[in-house]
Amino acid sequence: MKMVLTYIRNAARSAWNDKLYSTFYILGMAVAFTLIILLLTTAKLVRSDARPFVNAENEIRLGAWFTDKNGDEIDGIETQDIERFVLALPGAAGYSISNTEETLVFANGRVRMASVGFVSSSHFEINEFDFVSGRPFTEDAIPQAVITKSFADRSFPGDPLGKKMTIQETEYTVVGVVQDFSFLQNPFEKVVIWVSDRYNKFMPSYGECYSINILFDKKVPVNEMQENLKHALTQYYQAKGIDVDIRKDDVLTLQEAKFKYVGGNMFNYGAVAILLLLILIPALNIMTLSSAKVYASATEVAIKRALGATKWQAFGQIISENVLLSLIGYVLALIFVRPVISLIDRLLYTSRNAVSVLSGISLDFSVSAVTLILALLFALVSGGIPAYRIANKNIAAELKGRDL
Amino acid sequence: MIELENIYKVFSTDEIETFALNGVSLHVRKGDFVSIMGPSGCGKSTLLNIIGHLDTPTKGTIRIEGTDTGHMTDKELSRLRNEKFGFIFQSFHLIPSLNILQNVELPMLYSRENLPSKEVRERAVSIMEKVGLGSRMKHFPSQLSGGQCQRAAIARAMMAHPHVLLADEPTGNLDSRMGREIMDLLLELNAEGMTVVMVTHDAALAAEASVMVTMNDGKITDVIKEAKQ
Ligand SMILES: Nc1ncnc2c1ncn2[C@@H]1O[C@H](COP(=O)(O)OP(=O)(O)OP(=O)(O)O)[C@@H](O)[C@H]1O
Ligand SMILES: [Mg+2]
Repeated sequence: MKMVLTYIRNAARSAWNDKLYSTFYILGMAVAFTLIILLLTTAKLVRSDARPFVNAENEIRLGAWFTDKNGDEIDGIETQDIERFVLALPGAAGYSISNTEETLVFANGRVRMASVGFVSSSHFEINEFDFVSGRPFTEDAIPQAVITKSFADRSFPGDPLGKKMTIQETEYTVVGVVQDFSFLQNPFEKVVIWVSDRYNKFMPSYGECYSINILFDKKVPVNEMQENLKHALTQYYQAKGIDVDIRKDDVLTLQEAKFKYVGGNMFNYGAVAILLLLILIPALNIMTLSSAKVYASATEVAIKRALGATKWQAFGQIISENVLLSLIGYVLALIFVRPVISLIDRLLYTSRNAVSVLSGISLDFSVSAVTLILALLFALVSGGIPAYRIANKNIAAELKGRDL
Repeated sequence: MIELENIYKVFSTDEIETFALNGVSLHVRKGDFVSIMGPSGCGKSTLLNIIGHLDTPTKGTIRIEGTDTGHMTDKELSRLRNEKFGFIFQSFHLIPSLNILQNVELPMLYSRENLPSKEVRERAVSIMEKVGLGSRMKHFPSQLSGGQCQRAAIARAMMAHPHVLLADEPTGNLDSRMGREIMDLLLELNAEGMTVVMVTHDAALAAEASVMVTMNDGKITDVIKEAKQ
């Protein structure tokens, strides 16, 4: 214990004595770890089921249009047919309909463009939205709305519940606030305000149909869900005399859609590659910086060995400085990551009233833990190899005729 | 207390082999003041490094206080260096980022004695007062004269209560007056019972030792023991 404290004290002193080096090291590490945390967090959002949309593996969204055998576009399922269609579907456990519009929202004396979702009230339940306060809207006489936390913070500082806003000349009362989520969790949901579909004035005049989010029983295998849907759709259109062509892409599960639209395309691979490069550059810089510093300390290490330090003690003293600096960089990254996320978010999206890639991202425990392990590993690798070589040098040869 | 038997040290580089030590045997008894003289390159430093276990011989046995050190592990050798030897170098080898007091305390960091830091501090202060650096403790090596640096190095060498001081040209970087002061300090420590082995080019200083060793070409050519007891 005493030895460990001594190591820490010596490491701190040594770091303090070389402020420029330490600053570079810490800042470089902070940048690298911030990027790593971002990368891991986004990867985790695409890969796993974070609320909402925890049922991504057994939820299928049917779009508002399909194509027939001639490749011509045909309308989706007609609104009045939806309920019957889903009820007849084997394995279906629930559904919601949704239609997203970019429209003007009058709230708290200001006008904003925002993504508004006209949905059935089941939408919150089947997608397991995370309510910060309030509740889902009901199909009551009074029009009600659910909004995201960030939209609430922007529009209604203080308590947003009970506040009024106007969309398409209908006045809504805010009854619920849900946690922000990321575009990565569901590429189809960009909405920050949800109201009941029955107030939707865009429909049916625009001739568009609703998208249908169908939740299947967990026990139903994915390909069975998709086969059932294909079959039901083919029959539905057959009854109308249309020869529909349902493709694999029309019946993707949410999880498959995430991979296809978020995790899989060229842009995202490019972004990941650039991010990795960005991490690699400071990492390599610091590696050279720290090996140069360690090699420069060879005589000092030889002196300590002459005074009785074992190889392991010498190694430990060198490496503890790297570990200390790396850990400080890690802590800074933990502090930086939130402001960085909101900065990137602001740069990427001019309109903040829609869900973006990074909205709702929060620091995850497992991501922090993995990054911590990476930080320690990095310190060991960057300092460890030169430290090992220095600690094993011949003392006499190192001390000969060299001045410190 | 130090017994060298038939020590060879060969430095092999790509092309040539240098026989730095060519069958050296030497006994150093407790309380001796041994001086080692000889022309440049004859192997004096190599001999001293091997005695202090900063380097290993190619062949031959070393016994320190009766123990053969030939098969010792790194940990045992480190302990040996820490507890038995105090090193003094021509170029002082103080650590520039530490002040004199911290430099002097350094050996205790690796010591098995495990003194509380207060006692380490007290011991360091009293040794530094003894070598005449009582008023310079918070200075850094760069702020001191060569003579003062060498005093600090001697204080550091004394810190862990070693059994032998090994000094490689301790006065080599100093003018004659400061060299004299350092020599007097070493003589004083020897008079108090410390065993000293010193390499020097200064014949006058060498003559003050109780055992005068002369080397040439990797061999000991002459050992003169003074009659004074
Ligand atoms: N690391 C080494 N590699 C190769 N040869 C070496 C090495 N160290 C010493 N030597 C050689 O060993 C011989 C003895 O060197 P040593 O340093 O012991 O001499 P010295 O008597 O201390 O000389 P000086 O009085 O100049 O300090 C020299 O010929 C030297 O060139
Ligand atoms: Mg020499």
